[in-house]
Amino acid sequence: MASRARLFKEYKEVQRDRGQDSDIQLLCDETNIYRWTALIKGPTDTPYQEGVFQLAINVPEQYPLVPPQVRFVTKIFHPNVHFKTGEICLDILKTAWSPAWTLQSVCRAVIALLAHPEADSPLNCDCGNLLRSGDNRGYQSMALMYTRLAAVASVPNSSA
Amino acid sequence: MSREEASADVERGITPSDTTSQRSEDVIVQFAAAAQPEMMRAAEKDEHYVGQVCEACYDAFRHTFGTRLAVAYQNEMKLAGRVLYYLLTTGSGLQTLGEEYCDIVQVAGVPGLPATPARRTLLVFYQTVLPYLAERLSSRAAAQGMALGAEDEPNDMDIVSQISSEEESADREASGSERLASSNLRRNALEVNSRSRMSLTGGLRQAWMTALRRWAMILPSVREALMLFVRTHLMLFYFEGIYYHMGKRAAGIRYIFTGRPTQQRPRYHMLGLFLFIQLSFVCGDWLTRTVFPSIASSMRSRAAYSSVSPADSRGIAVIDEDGGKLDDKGTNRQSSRWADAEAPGSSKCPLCLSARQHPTATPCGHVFCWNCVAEWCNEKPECPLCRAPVTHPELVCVYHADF
Ligand SMILES: [Zn+2]
Ligand SMILES: [Zn+2]
Repeated sequence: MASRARLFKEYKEVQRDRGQDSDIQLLCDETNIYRWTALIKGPTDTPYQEGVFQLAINVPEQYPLVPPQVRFVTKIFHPNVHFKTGEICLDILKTAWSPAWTLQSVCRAVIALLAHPEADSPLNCDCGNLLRSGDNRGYQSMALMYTRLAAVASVPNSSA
Repeated sequence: MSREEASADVERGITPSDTTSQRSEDVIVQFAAAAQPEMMRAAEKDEHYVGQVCEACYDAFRHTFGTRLAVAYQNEMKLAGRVLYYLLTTGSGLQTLGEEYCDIVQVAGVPGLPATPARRTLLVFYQTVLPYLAERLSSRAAAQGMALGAEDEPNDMDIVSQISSEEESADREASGSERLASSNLRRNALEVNSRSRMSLTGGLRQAWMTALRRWAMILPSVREALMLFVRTHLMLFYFEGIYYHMGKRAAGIRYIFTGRPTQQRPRYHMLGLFLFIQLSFVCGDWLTRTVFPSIASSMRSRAAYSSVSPADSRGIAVIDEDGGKLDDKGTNRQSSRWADAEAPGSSKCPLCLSARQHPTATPCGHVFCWNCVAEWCNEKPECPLCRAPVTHPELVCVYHADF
């Protein structure tokens, strides 16, 4: 499977469906089709709902046989996202990858992860511990604070 | 043959003074220079074992100090593993595992004497510590420079993180040989470093600031230049076949082949030629870019990592795989395409997202291109859509079926 051809197809679909899925904005690097940026809206009824988060997507040459590397660029307080590096712990990006996933659906999966934090496989131990000890209020307020600090400021920029 | 024996053999064989003085009737054994395939195979093997040592270091560190610290000191652990491996092999005068596997031995200079300890230490330093230091210094300088630039515009804060993370990913991508090749970067980094000392003592703080800011600006192009440099070095290796690693070139350590001479070993001149062609194209491209100022300015804006805005994506002209120019006009055909994607009789393969070539069904009833699904089954024997187990013999090509 030629990764380039497939990425062009995905690019076309993204261009075609632009505006249909307002929660996800996928942008391809102007000069390198293996580099993408995604802007995702935090899901409603979560502490992330006011924020827009930037993801950096690095697509390997063997794509779609291997998953793309996805990272949060915007700081986020979430048990399955490394606070410093933005690394994401999500099974479909590692062992459970299937080539039927597209960059668009991967972004959708990341949004779903925001809505359903998994405290048992934490990359952010502080956050995981809050959830595991049942301190949901502590988790919510921390996540909300970091959303407001890091992800809300960029809203006017991205909605332009 | 054990490694000690092998190296003892070699020393006996290639030290002319030894053999000639004691047994002058013996013919001096001259070993041939190692061929390219052996050197590359040895390097690959070594990278593999270095990876294992690094992993072991990381695991040990993680068990002792916990995951959090281990993640923080990931790069240092990699460095430790690398240093350990090369100190225990090259550093102590033995062959590395890869070299032993390929029957090649390090020698220094033209007479072919074994490398002196000083030379070997230098090599280990070039191969391990230097790339790490260069990377570290330059990324720190760049991060500081970006932070300085951001003081004027506080909105640019996330660009800083973008830059530094960009570096991390570049770091991860860099293969062993590329990392070895950062001598250029090292020189620049050292220059920045020495500049820092000078400015701190001389009170030229302003100059230091501008230097930092400049460094952050030019870092992407420096990286690009470095990649070109690595390519050029590889091309030289393909042509002359002496130094596969830049560290070995710098330390003047080459290889001889001590195994049983076999049939004609292949040379890689053709590869070198192709690389040369590619490099000249890149250079030509670069020249035209600098000649046309408008394109050059767009390049510069890319280098400065202007934050991505949705408006940017609108201006992109993309050539699709058929060679046609793809732009917003594509939306004209939107309705019809949308229809055929949604239609139940869709003949689209969910893996390559194009029309199915040689439709092939899995036992679970999902249909893909033959190539797409067969390639995936090499990776993982399950259906990409429903994860039902699939093996190659179970794939059925479905021709003459209208669906
Ligand atoms: Zn296909
Ligand atoms: Zn299936």
